[in-house]
Amino acid sequence: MASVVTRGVIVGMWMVGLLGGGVGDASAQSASAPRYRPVASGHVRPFYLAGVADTGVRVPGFLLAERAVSNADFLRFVKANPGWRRSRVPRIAADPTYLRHWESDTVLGATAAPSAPVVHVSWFAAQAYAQWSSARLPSTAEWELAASRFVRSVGPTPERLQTFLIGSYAQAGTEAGTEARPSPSPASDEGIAGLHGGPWEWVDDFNSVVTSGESRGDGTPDDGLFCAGGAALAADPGNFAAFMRYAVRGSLRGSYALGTLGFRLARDPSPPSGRPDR
Amino acid sequence: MISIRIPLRHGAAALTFGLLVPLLPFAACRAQGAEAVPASGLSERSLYRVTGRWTNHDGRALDLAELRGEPVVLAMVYTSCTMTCPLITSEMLAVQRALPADLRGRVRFVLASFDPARDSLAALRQHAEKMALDDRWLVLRAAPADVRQLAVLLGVSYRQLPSGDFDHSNIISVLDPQGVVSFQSPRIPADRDALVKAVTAAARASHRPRR
Repeated sequence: MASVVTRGVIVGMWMVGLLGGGVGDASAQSASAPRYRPVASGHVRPFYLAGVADTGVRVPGFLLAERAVSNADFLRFVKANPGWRRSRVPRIAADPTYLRHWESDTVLGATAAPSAPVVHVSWFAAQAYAQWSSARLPSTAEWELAASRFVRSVGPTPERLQTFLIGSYAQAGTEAGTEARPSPSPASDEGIAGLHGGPWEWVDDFNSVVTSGESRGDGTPDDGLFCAGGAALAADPGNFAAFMRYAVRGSLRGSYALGTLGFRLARDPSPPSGRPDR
Repeated sequence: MISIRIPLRHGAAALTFGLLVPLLPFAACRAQGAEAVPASGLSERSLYRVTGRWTNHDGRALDLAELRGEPVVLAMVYTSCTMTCPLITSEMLAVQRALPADLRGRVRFVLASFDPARDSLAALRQHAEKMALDDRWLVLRAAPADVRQLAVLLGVSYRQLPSGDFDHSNIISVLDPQGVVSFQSPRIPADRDALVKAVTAAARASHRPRR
């Protein structure tokens, strides 16, 4: 799958970008990198449901990092890939708010605790980080699946999860610089922390929210904007927490680097044991 | 697949449950030195700073950055779409016809498919024939990650339905010769006059003579 392309660009894997590069940094992913936890397969009911069966969409099992990428993690990436320093990143890949809570290009400073989830990162930066880490971003469906499993800490009914989520969202948004703190909210049943109560998180297909017209407008659909988008119906209009997540994703652009938005990594399941590892 | 024109080194020691993953697949991706495309002079907002690997309907591999130097009218569609996609193509054809005669050979028209699974090269060729697209047109396919990235760059939303069809934005974009989005028509029917005006402005501003 790796392939060398025209004019020296190396493009082989998703978002590998490399030009210019140099020798790979052998310590790129240190022992402090987060562990991955298995998320068992299951069904997700997308908030916008057109064309989806009542049971929802089946999501195969996958691996999800047990915590979001931290400032310290992202600093290693930026040090190893100078093109992603905030003074050098091109505007097409990240807005001027990119990493603005850091003291400088390669110093975190007082407002960016090393262990806190990194925020002020664009989708392109998150994708490049994932590529560098030989991982990927979770899809919307994968993220939603993992984030729905809080029976142990919240209780068995969907209503209780909703109440819990809305409460945690109310605490989540604070001023830039202070929002990036470790989340106090409980881990999911599968041991994944920070899915709720911390920063929002990028997903690979954040731009898959196809609704008719401008949600902040007067509610009149503009059917000319989307092909078939006018048919999208909410699966569960009472699920306000899900509505908030989809509304946030639908309002993003790939270059946005918001103070309330970070990311975590996902991977496909490990290959079956017995395969020789090298 | 995709490349962002930013130096990026691979972590050579990525861990998966404490086991080193086989490094061989990445060896060929390792940095090979020099900056590929001279980004010099290219706007910070140029799409050509972030590009993917596409294949044209004639089978030719293409890096979008190769389109640098000419204005581009670009939309994302899928060829089995029976709803707005043929309309998008028709709108672009109308823009092509409405261009001043001296510019018609200096503007590229590009359709990029949402649907690599069903839009084979044969399907793309068939679409080009059916819509009577001339040699100023490219009809492109790429791997899903490249499709996603182009859509993000353009602000295009899309989602595949269980039926295999797609919900998607109806955006038609104009890129200037540097690859910067200079105008977007968000809906169908498109604002043809504004599209023609934007393309004409981009072409007239071009320093590069026709190749």
